[in-house]
Amino acid sequence: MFAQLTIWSLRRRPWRTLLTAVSVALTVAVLTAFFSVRAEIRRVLALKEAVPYQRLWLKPRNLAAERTQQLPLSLKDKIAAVPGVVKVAYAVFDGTKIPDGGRVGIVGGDVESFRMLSDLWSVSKAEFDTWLNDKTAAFVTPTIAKQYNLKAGSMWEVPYQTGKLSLKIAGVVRPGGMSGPLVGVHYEYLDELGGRKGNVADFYVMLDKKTDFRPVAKAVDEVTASYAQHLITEDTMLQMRGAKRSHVIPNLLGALGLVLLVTTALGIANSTMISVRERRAELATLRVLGVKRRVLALSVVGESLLVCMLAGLLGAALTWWAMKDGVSLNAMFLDNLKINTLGLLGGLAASLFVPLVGSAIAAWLAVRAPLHVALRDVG
Amino acid sequence: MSQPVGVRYYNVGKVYRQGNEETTILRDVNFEVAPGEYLAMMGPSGSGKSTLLNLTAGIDQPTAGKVIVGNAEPSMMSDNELCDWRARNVGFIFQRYHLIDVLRAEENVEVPLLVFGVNRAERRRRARSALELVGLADRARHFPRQLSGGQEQRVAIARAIVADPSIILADEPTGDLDSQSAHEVLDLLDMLNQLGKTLLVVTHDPNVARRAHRTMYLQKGQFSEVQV
Repeated sequence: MFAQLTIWSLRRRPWRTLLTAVSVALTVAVLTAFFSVRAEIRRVLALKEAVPYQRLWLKPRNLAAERTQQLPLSLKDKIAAVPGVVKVAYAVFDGTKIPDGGRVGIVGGDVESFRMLSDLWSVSKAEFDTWLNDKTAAFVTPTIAKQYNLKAGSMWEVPYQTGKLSLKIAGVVRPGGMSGPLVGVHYEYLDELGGRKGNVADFYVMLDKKTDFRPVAKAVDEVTASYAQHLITEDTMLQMRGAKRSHVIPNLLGALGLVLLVTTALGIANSTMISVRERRAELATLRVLGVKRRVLALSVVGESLLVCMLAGLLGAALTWWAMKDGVSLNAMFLDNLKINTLGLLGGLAASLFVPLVGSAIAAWLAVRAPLHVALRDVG
Repeated sequence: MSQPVGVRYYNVGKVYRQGNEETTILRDVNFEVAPGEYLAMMGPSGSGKSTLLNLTAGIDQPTAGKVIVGNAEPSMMSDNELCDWRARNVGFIFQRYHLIDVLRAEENVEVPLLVFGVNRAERRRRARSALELVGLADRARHFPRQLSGGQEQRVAIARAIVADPSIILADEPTGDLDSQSAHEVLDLLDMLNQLGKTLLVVTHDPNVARRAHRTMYLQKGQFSEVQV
């Protein structure tokens, strides 16, 4: 009976119903995006927190000069000898032009640097082993994979300096460690093609998590003092700060979602109260005909609930459609964002919350009016 | 077909309170309506006729005395019990019809059957035969706004009888109708009474009183029987 009454009620004022549905769909779309982005940030932060060491980054003072400000590879042993240092890794950054006119950044790293980054990339052990055992293997970011239709096992030729890199794709990394149009290859492969001449751009100095990084950083700084153009930073903190800065976008989405949530709930509350007021005699008539208060209240709430749930599904579907190919909000941390389960559940929860809160008071008012008074109302 | 029931009013009183002000509507009302009787209740506006009808249907509660319908005392029932009891036993006809404007005539008639969980096909069948009984089978798919006042009231009558109640309460059923429509509605009420329904009709219309078995006149909160 409740379902039938609810469906009948929906015939009333279709424009008002449509406007409510649009408003709810919009709210759910924004909230689904908000919850999806927020879940992705949490995932990236958790990955960074789970890395079993802290990392110092010896990098060019001017990051834009990474290709020209070089450090000799021979520094590695000196840095490794500093007390407190567990491992040292190194990498170079370069770029190349693809024949179709696109540009690709190239990260050339040693095994240790890639092992370090693989924690953040979420690549599988099999993928990492493929990379490890093949000098020509490469990881690509989702941006590159999508642009050049690459997946694990694909072959890809990239012009590099005077020759070309013949790469076998080992896997596609997830955002959090390497994002944007980047390809990660063995340092040795780049060096073999004559591009590096035994120099690197960055050293990654890994310490135990419990070690105080300051004296170690000072000692590393002294070892590399003659290379004034480089500086050393505590990279783990830097990464975390970067990831936290990425909260700005989801926070804006969240604020917008909250405003929409409240205004939609108030809108529904208002329109349901007006509707219930207009239908006072009708609701009283139904009670005279034997419909119980509980069923009437449920049908008032159910009407909003049905509209909002359908609109919520539409909103979530729209967000899924908008994000199905991946959205980039921040190349480093929020690249290739897609709708996720948490986002979907959050959005759909909102589509339940809005009508329940919005129509609860109206439903209560609908059934509490004394029958003999309500029946005197004539619409 | 349900068995007709009688109604007994014992020292029924009704006082409305608003702040410190008290208005006595009914005072020591005592009379009986026999099962299958057609009773007209007349009296000036505000005399308490509709209030007595509301007390009979459990829409309002007496402040003194009791109303017994068949073996039931509506004022002693919970809200849910009242709903069930009204759905099974009482057909109510309002002066302003109180049809639901977004429902077609047949859907309006189906509403009381929803309460009993009757399936859609059976609801539709019974609604159609009720509409046929009131002569509106060809208007089943019309919305109330597409019907005349007389037709709306006949749909309301079909709605009142579709669940086969044992008593029908009508509150000024011809009050908003022209004489031709009123005549048709009164013919229908006659027919319902002939089918064995107990009929209590509040009216200002002497034609109703002439058709009823008995007429009670209410004045200053008390009833007296009159010959029309």
